[in-house]
Amino acid sequence: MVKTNSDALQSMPDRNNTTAALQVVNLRKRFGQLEVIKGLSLTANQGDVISILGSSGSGKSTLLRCLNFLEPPNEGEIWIGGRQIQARAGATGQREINALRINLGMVFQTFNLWLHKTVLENIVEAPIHVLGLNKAEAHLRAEELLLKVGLADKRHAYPSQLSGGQQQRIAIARALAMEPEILLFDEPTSALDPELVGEVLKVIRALADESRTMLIVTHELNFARQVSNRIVFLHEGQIEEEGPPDAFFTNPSSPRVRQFLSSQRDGYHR
Amino acid sequence: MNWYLVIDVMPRLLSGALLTLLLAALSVLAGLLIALPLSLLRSSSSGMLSRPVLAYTFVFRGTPLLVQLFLIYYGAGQIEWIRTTPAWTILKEPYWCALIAFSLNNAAYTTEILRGGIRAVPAGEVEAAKALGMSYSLRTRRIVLPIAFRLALPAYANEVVLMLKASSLASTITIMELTGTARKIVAQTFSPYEVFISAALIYLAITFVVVRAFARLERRLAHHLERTEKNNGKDPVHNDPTQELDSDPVLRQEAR
Repeated sequence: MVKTNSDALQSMPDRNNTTAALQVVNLRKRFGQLEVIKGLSLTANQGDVISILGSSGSGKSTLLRCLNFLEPPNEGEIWIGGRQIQARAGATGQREINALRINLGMVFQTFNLWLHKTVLENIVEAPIHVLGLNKAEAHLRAEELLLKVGLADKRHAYPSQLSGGQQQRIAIARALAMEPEILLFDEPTSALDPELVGEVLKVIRALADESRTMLIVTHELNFARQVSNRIVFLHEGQIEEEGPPDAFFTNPSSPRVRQFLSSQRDGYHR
Repeated sequence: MNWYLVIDVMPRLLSGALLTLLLAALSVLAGLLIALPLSLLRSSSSGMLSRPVLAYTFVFRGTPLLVQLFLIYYGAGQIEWIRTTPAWTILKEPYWCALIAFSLNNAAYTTEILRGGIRAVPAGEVEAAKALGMSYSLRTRRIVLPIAFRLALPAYANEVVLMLKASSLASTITIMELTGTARKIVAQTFSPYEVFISAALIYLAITFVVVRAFARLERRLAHHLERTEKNNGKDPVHNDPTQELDSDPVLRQEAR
C-alpha cells in the first residue's frame, strides 16, 4: 500500500520542535459560510501557561474546542508531543480522537458535571472506564484530587448541592483525574458569581505553579497577567498579538489590543 | 348490585387477570428491548439510520392497535406462503399474535418516548464525556441513557399503564384474559353490571400498583436533585453501608 504524505509525517516524531507539548499549524474552522478560525498557528511548550484573550466572537472558545475535536477543524495540523493527530473518518479516526482527548483535559465554562452522579462518581468515571484503572486506584486518585481542590468533605454530594465555584473545582479535579498532558480552560470563571471567582482561580494558579502546560481562555485580565508566561490575543480568528504578559499589558503594539485593554479597564472601574 | 355474584366470579376473573398481567408484562419488556436500540438509531443525525425507524413508529403510532392485531391474527393466515413457513406455528396461535402486535405497538411508542429523553440530555454533559475520551458506546451506556431514562420516566410510566389497559383488546381474538373472561361470564350470567364492575376494579388495582411503583422509582432516581445532602450515599439508613465501604477507601480505613 502506498503511504500517503500525512502518514509519513505522522511516523516522523521530530518534525518541528520536540519540546513542543502542543503545536497547531494553519488551523481553519468554518461554520457554514462563516470562517471562525482563519489559518491560526500556535505552539505551547512544556510548562507553558498561555492565556488566550480577545473580544467575544474572536474565536477563542472555538480554537480550544478544535484542539480536542469537539469541533472538528476543517484544515490544519494538530501535533501533541511531536505526534500529529490524524482525524480519519470511521472507527480508527474516532479512536485517535479519543486518545487525543485523554491527553487534553478540558474544563468548561458551565462545568458540565454529570448531575446524576456524586462528586466522587464524576471523578472516577472516566479513569475507571476509559483508562481502565481499578476502583481502588481511581478512588485513591480522586480523594487526592479532592484534597487538592479543597472539597474532600463533598465527595458524596451531588453537583446540584454545590455552589458554582465548588462545581468548577470538581470539574477541574475530574479533568485532572485523567492525568492529561495539557489542560484546556474554556472561560472557567465566566459563569460564576463574582465572589466565587477567587476560589477557582486559586486552584488554577496552583496548577500553573506545578508547571503544567495550560491554555486558558479567560476574561480575567489581572489573573492572566499573573499566572501566564504568554498572552495570545485573538481577533477575527487570527492571532493579533502574542508575547510575555508584561510587554502585552504595558506596551501592546496592536491598536486593537490597546483598545481592548482600555475598554476592559473602563468596564472594571465602572 | 348483587355482591354475592361479585364474590362468586372473582376467582375466575383473577385468573384472567393473571393472563392480562403476563401479556402486558411481556409486551412491555419486549417493547423496551426493541425500543432501546431503535431510539438510539432514531436519535442519530444520519437520516439513513433515523428515517427507517421514523417510518416504523409512524405506521404503528398512526394506526389503531386493534387493526394491527387483526392484521397479524387474521391477515397473516390469508397469505398462502406464510402458512407453509415455520412462522405459521407461531402466527396461528392467538396468544403469540397478541404478544407480537402489543410488543411492536408498545416499542413504537417507547422508541419515541426514549428519543425525547435522549434529545433532552444536556449537551454539556455529553460534551464533558466526549472531552474525557469516552467512546460513543461508553458514554451512551454510562451517561446518555441513564439521564435520558430519568427524563423519560414519567411519560414511560404512562405508556406502561396504557399498555396494560390496551391488552384488553386481546379478548377480540379469543384470548381469555381479564376482559375476555368477563365477557364470557356475562354471557353465562346475564349480569354485565356486576361482572364488568368487578373487572374494572381489578384493572384499577393493578394500575394503582404500577403507578405507585413508578412514582417510587422516579423518587429514587431523582434524589440527586435534592438540595440537601442528608439523603445522599453518606446516610446509612438509605444506603447499603457495606457497599459504601467497598467503594470508599477513606471510609474503609476509618471502619477498621
